[in-house]
Amino acid sequence: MVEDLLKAALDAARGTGVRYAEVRLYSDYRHEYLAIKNGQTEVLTSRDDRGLGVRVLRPKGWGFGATSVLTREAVREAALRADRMARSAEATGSEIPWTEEAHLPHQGHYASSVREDPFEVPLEEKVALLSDAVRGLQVGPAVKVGRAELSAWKEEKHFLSSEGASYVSQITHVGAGMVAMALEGGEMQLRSYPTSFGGDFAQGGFEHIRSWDLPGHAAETGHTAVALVTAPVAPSGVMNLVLASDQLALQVHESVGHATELDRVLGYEAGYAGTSFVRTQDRGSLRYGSPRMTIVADATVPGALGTFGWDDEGTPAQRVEIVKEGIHTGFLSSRETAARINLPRSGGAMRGEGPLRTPLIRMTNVNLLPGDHSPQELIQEAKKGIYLETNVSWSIDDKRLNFQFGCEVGRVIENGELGPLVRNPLYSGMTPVFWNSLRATSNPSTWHVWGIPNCGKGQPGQAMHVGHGAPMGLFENVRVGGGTL
Amino acid sequence: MTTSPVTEPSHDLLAKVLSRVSGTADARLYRERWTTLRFANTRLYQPHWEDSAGVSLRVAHEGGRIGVATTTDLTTEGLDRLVRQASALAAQAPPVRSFPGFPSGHRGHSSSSSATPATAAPRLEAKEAELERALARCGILAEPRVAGVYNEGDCELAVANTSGLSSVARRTVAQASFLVEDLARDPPVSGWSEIAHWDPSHVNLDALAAEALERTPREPAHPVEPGTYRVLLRGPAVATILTMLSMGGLGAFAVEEGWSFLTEPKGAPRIAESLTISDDPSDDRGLPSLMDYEGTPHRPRHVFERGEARGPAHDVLTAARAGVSTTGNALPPEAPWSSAGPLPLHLVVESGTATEDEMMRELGRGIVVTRLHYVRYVHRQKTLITGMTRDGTYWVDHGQIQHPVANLRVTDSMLGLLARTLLVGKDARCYNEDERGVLSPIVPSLLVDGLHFSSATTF
Repeated sequence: MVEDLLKAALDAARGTGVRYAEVRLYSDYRHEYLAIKNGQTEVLTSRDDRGLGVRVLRPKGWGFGATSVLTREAVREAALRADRMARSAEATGSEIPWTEEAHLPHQGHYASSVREDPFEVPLEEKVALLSDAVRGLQVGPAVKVGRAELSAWKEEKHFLSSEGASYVSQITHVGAGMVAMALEGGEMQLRSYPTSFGGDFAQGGFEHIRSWDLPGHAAETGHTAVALVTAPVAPSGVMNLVLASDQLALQVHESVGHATELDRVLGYEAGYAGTSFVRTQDRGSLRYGSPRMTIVADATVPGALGTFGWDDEGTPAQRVEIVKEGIHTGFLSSRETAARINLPRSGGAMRGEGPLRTPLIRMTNVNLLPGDHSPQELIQEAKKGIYLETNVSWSIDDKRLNFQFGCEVGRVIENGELGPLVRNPLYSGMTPVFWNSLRATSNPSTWHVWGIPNCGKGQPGQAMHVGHGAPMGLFENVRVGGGTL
Repeated sequence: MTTSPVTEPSHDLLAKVLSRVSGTADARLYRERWTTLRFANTRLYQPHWEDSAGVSLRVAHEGGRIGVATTTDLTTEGLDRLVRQASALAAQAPPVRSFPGFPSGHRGHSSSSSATPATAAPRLEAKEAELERALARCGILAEPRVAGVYNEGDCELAVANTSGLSSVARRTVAQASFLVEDLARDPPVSGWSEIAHWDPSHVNLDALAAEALERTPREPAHPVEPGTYRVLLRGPAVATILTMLSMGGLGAFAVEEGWSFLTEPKGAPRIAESLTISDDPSDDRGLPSLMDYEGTPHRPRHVFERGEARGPAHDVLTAARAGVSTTGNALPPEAPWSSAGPLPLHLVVESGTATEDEMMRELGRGIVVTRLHYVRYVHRQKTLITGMTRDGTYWVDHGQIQHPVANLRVTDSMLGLLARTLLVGKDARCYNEDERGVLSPIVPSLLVDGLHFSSATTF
């Protein structure tokens, strides 16, 4: 049945004059989301979707059509609509370049490595785990909210293109986290574990959720939230800054990942997501950061959220160098955008969120490679400054230059040692200035690939699962503030 | 796998789902058909067509044990699986305190007046022609780059429950934005315009292009020092601020948890007396929505009345806990973002009497902000936000625009800036923050006596 529908859609899409067409059919697209707050159910929900998306390339225009109804008639209509859209786009467009990649097409099968299927773990056990965590967070009356959540996704995607590419992808993702909200004397503070905004996310099974051991970290998380309420406000000024791995991962995401998406660089996202300060001619010459900065977009990292077999144009997963020793060397790209700057092949970064969204250039796992310092050595080298952990606020301009981030936790660094807790820390900067102030990063034993399941982009909007490997990092002379800047 | 096309009436389909449930439940059917004309680099790019249907089911077992499942597989097998999933979740769910059950209501269909046969059918050809004219119009610039989107959706939401409620609301959503850049300037300059309306003929791409073009400066931007300036916030910037505010203390969860400004011991801070802000999903200047996701009919209510804060948004559950009636602000229970609890999604700022010219004269010396980008909370309890200006920031002196200014970072309290509002504009417009008709404030421009810009750029 799946093959029939794929073929029916592709046949309908492949009308006269169509240069390329691809069909993605999701025969299984599941999401389970469980959240317990203060011992009560906040959300226990299970999503079970199906659908098919068709993308058509005519010489001067793209079109996309999608349906959640899996019948021959419905998928055929989606394909014809995609072609109708492509014809419409041709009226205002010029020739669309496209890499002819000799290594394509590919046929194959990709599956996540899953030890414990999260959908087979009894609900009772999942609820108990979250309830235990919530109880553990509630260390005193100041904790007004203890909340724990977990997510699991499973998708089975069938891909077929007019070039003969054909693959099946079975991907399982999981995530879990918890947060304590303490409120006393009119001051509210949050503390999360393993990081904020739902926790950490990975590709694989329930074994990841067990490994994060939410109940085992709950009391400490709750106590830190309470301590933050009465902690002094973070100091203000220009100082040395040590970022924990989770915050540095988000810094990479916002100021490197998005900035090097080639559709943004070329102006194709100007209306909503924005553009980039990076220009196509900067490749090989822009000093993005200090020599300690090497960043790769690697869709092959085992167990990471941005890992897959092939992207949604049939291009195999690959490792693309973005910044090497501080010099900008590459982009996140697609077959069209790669061709626009005369690259021989796509970087394999095209993905769509489910069947109803068109593929776009999305981050894979955009990773800052580790250095050689231990965490203690980083703090010692900072001498005087501040250490920040776990994002609570993030904002950056549409060219990815001017950023301001806030963190849950700060600790003053005095005489090369971590000092007292401070609350409401912020830091800000301009992307290349900031990255050029990178003096050192921590060693591989401290490096972690964080999963972010909600990277927003596109019109209509899409949320993508991406990964970011990051160590700790020491930056010099950064503008820091407490509460505001 | 034999998914059938969704042809049966909503009421019948939901009745079929509810008849399979043991216990109490409510269910929603969503049917949507969207056309998106997205344009970038002065061409139609990645246009999109989408047809979807799905059902969400919320099952409540004894004691307020609630589970929610959703599916787009509307076959008999798919619906059976949906019921099993929701029931299984409910069986394991920790009880929700004071769950009052599902609201009772009438049987039969009711229909939104916002969609008419004339607007229900997508008018693709007409919009394509409008877009072509709009793109051509921008050719007067030295090096134009035009981007934006036109979205048109025909949407149906049906809600039914085991207490007898059964309602259907149909509506059309049309929304567009238009960005004009002139890349010949160094740094490039830009102008912006946007609108949302239930009637697609009110969303004219050529008119939006003309407005964006008129706002596109003819000279490069000048840098301005960070600091606090008197500002004129145009509609798109006000809409973004109101959307943030709707998620920051105006919902019942924030009140229950004690961090809403509505719970401050000294009383909720007042905003300017000139400001009356309502939650009014029925306002037909925008995207009317006749009921919430529990099927409760919407009714307008004040959120701030002449500067004084009123109560939070409620759904059936939080209203029962607070001992009040629901305000009709339930979110879709199947959506992860429903964990925010009930929120006001249709904030309307009551228009004042000031024209833009009068507001400019009163501004005297300061900054016009058209649009804000990437606005996030710095501290939700304090309603402190940060974000960047974008696409149309200008320096004003003697009540006249002097030149564009390079983008600035705003870091300020929303309640603070609303308290410092001096004038409220006469002309209001609907903006759709999510492009799918959910968050759709209707706002005029505001003149604010002091907005804090925490950092600056040179572009």
